[in-house]
Amino acid sequence: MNWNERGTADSEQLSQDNSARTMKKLNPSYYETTRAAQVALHCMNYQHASLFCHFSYETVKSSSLEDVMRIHTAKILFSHTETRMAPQVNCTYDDTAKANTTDDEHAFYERMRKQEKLVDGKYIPDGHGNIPAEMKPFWLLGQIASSYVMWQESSESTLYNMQQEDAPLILLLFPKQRTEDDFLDFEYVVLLHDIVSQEITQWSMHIRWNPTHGVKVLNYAQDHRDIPFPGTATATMSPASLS
Amino acid sequence: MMEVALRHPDVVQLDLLGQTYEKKNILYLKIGNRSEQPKKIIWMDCGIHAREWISPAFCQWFVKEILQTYKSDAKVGRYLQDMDFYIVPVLNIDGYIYSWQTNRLWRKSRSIYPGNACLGTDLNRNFNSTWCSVGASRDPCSETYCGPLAESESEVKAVADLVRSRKADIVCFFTIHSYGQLILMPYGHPDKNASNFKELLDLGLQAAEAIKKKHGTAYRVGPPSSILYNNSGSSRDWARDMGIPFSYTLELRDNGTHGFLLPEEQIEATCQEAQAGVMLIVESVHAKYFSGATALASLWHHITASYVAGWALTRGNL
Repeated sequence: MNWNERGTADSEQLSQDNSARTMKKLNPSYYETTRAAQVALHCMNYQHASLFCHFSYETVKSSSLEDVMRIHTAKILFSHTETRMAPQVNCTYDDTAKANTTDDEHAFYERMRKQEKLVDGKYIPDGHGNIPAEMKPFWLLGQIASSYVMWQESSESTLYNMQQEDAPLILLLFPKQRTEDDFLDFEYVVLLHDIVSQEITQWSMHIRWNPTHGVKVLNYAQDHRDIPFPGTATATMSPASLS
Repeated sequence: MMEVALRHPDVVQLDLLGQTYEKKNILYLKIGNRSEQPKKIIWMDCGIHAREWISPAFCQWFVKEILQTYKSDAKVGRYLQDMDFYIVPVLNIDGYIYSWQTNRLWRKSRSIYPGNACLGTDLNRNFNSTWCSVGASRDPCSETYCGPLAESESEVKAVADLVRSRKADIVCFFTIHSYGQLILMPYGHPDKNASNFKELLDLGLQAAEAIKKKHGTAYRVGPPSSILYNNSGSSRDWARDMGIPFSYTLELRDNGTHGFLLPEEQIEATCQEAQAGVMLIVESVHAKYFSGATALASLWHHITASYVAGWALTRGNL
């Protein structure tokens, strides 16, 4: 969308044969615009967010960045082709595009690398929306990775928002298994909420992260396991049993 | 709720709205000064969708605020004098309990129809307003399943029966949901327009302004067909169809960071700002129907009552 002076926005639609393009003027408060903006947001969060800094509509929520970043233009192309494609997003920025990593992230990274046993985490947030402090980095990590899935799975008729549940199992691959790479690997199960259909879908994803290179989703798939999540669920984190 | 009714017998009545699918009693509160004549009514229902926990919390907050301020706040006292508030704290009791005990993200009712592969109907797609035309599903396994027919759900029928019987007196209809930070007006259907669209929009924008003043939270205003998604069969739309002039859905916090899992520490602030928005609309609606002589009479009554109360207090009678 290009926000012009009159406050309306233009969107492009790539038609089936890739030849004819139709431009549509959008009102910034109409849902078509909101959905397109959300897609851009997911893309940005995945590509540029770090663990303690991610993007939302109004401000950059960050412990390290003081300036508010403004997106001037975001071009989102929804494909109407037969094979479903993720919407293409091109963004231009006002200020520094890359979010800075923080001391907190490095501390978290070092702490995880020192873990001897696998960490088992469940229900982040729990049934009452609580996230214990020690689980917050895992939640943020999951948010960024989920941005990728939501970007990939978005279309004009969805409005994905992430309803997150922590993974029953977090896999850590110890650095000694990949000494040249220094990454941490995690296995997550997340719940995504599509506002339009109101459906909750469950996805498992293999995430790779370190503070320097950020987050990469190695693969993801819809997950059909029945994982109970009652309202009374409370957050738990412990070294996983080895059995 | 029983306790609330017992503690304020002068202004609170507990009544039976109907029953859920699982035969649980749906209770509602009628709050207002007793009157021989029928009074104008402001309706509020909460907990239509099970997982939207902040919604029943807000109804409770709203009741608490009214009852804590009606004796000290002249405006609130006048509202209870001139009108009745009908509050349904939890409409979808079956679903709500299920979300606590079994599935935190359950949305629908818990009704079962023979031959359906899944259970539960979306109560907010089951009202008889362009029923199941857009934004609702015929698939029983869908989260927006509209039901086998309009008003098939006993919870919906309970609301519809009462509202139908009192529609001439109901001046304002609130239905509370989460999440999204929205003030939604009729209609969900893109081809339908409320006759008083501008009036609804103006008032909605004022309410959003009042909300923002409280904690800086931004709420967007408009019909769902513009700012959210098309839908049909909602309680808000049906209420407008019944001729109730002011009909709003409030989608409370947040914007998606936690979604339905709003943290406990945000409950109070969310309720405070929603209260500000609701009361602005209440004030405006009240002013529209009660002005001049009536207001003066009720003011005089209030001054007399306060004087008597004050006198009794100094005499040590209270």
